[in-house]
Order: sequence, then C-alpha cells, then structure tokens
Amino acid sequence: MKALTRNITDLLTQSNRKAEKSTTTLTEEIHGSDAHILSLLRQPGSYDRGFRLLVQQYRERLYFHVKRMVGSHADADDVLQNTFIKVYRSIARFEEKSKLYTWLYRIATNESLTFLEKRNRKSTDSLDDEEGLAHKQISASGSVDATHTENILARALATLPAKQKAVFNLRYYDEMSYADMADALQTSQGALKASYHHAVKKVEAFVRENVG
Amino acid sequence: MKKDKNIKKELSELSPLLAKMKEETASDAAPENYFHLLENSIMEQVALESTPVLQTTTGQQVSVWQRLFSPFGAAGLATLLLVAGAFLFLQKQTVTTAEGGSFDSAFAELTDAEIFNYLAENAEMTDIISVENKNDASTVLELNEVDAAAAEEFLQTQTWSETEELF
Repeated sequence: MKALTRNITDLLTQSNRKAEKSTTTLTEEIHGSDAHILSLLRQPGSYDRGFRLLVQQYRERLYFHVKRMVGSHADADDVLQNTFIKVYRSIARFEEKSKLYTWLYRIATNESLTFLEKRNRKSTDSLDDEEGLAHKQISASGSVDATHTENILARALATLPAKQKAVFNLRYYDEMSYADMADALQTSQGALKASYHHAVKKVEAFVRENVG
Repeated sequence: MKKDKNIKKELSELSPLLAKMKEETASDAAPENYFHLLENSIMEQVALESTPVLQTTTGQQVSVWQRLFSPFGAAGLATLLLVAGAFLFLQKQTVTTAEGGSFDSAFAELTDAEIFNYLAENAEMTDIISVENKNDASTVLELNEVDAAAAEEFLQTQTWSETEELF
C-alpha cells in the first residue's frame, strides 16, 4: 500500500514538473525573447512564426514611441505599418552587431523622422507650424490623450526639434539607457546626454508657461 | 529592454516638475483591439512578399579549408605569403651588413705599413688619390715617398710638352 502511495506521489510530482515546464515554454513563446525570435527567423520553415512573434513583442512599445513622435494615432498607425514592413524586408541584412530592440527602435525612429520631414514640408507650404498642427491633432484625439498632463506634455514635445524629441521620448518615456540610445540613434552618449538635458529644460519652460 | 536605474534620479535633479508630472501621467492607451488588427494587417501585407531568411552569424561550423578557399581566405593567404617573402628578403640584407661589419673589424687589425705595402703593389696612383680625395701634387709625392728636390731637378730637365705628357 505504501509502495502504491509512493508511486502515485511520484507520478503526480512528475506530472506537475511537466506541466510547469510546458507553461514556461508557452510563456517564453508568448513573450518571445530576442534570441528566440532570431532563432525562428533563421529557419525558412519558422520565419513567419518568428516575424509574428517579433510584431507581438514590439508592437506596443514601438506604437507609443512613434505616436509620441508624430502626434496622432492615424499617423502613428501608418508609420508603424511602414516600420514593420521595412523590418520584414531588411531583417536578412541584420548582422546582430546591435541588439534586436535597438535596431527596431532605429528603424521606427528613422521612419518617424522621415514622416515629420515630409509633413513639415507640407505645413510650410500651407503656412501651418508643427506645434499648431500637433495641437489640433492632440485636441482632436481626446480618447487617446485622456489627461490634461499628457496633453500639455504632448504639446511641449511638439515644440522640440524632431531629433531632440526622439531623444526625450526614449529617455523620459521608454527609460532607455544612454548606451542603448546611442545604438538606436547612432549618436555618441555625450551628445545624447546634452540633447536630453536641453530637451528637459525646454519642456519644463513650456509647461510652466502653459499651466496655471 | 534594460532600464536605466539612474533615470529617475537624473530627471529629479534636472527638473523636479517633470519628474512629478511623470508620476501623475496615466499609462499609455491605444484604441481598442488596435494591436490585434495591426498584427493581422502587417502579416497580410508581408504574405505577399518573398520570405527573407536571416543569415546565420553564430554557431556555424566552417572548416579551415572552407575558410582558406573563400575569397577572403585566399586574399589573406596571399597577403601572408607576401609579408613572409618581404621578411626573408630583409633578413638576408641584414646578414650581408653583418658580414661587412666583421670585414671592418678585420681591416682594423692591419698595420698602416701593411696597408701601404698592399696599395703600392696592387693599386694605381689615381686610385689612391681618388680614395684619399686629395688631388694636389704634394699628396702624390708624399704617398710615393719621392724626394721633392729630386723631382724638381727631374722636371727642370724636361721640355714643356714632355712635362704635360707626364700628367
């Protein structure tokens, strides 16, 4: 009887271990570490699965980064779709010299900067400035920019030059280290630190002028 | 993504106002079901494209022979051979110089008398002048140990044309 009880206990323990192991594997599959994503992307048979996992892993982070850059959901959606298509087309040339996530941020930031440049050219033609345009978009998209604080910050960001805005976003919102920022923006850490400090002072001055 | 622990501290020092605003800011939000729709839209678009596969950069086993016969391997090998050839050539040059050095030391052991005797027997007068780089007549007389008075007496017996022929 004791032997039977021990066998049942052993079986249950083994079963629990297997269940834990499968849960861990599933969690890894869902969250998908960069190494796991890259290993899937290296095999033609698992390429699409790897790419879908990459989209799942980075869609939210990149969406908010791009939205802060361009100001509206509609524009962010366009830029983000272009970003992921570009990633799909150029992933074969990714040499793993940098981290996957800094490489993705680099592409997303470059796409945003290109978009802003085009929009600025159009707004210059129509005598509309970047801040005014952003203010209209921010005010119009009330459901996305729920709070007054966010609204003020978004308007303050619109006054920054595009590259300084990217620096501020990565540090302030994404809490990225200067080393990773340097990799993502292809700029020295010293220059990034100086740029961030200037951006913070400008945003603070804007907030003080517009609050109260 | 690795987050920098000093960011909060840095922001508090730079702008306490923005640091406080960050704490009050509500978490980001997107339209409902947006990310699911985005994923499907992207996957539909990429389905129309050919599948690019990431190049393997790690863990790939490549034999030494494969490396040598690759274009970069062959170029590397050729460079190595050139460098080795240049090294051997320079080393040979150094050996010759070293031999020259030992000749100098052997030459230094000879006495002046031995050198003069050798030159008197084997060298022409012009060679000696050239070596010494002294073209005046006194040096020539000195080197041949000729008595100056006897030479003067001899020259006075010669006609001008005969004297010219001597030189």
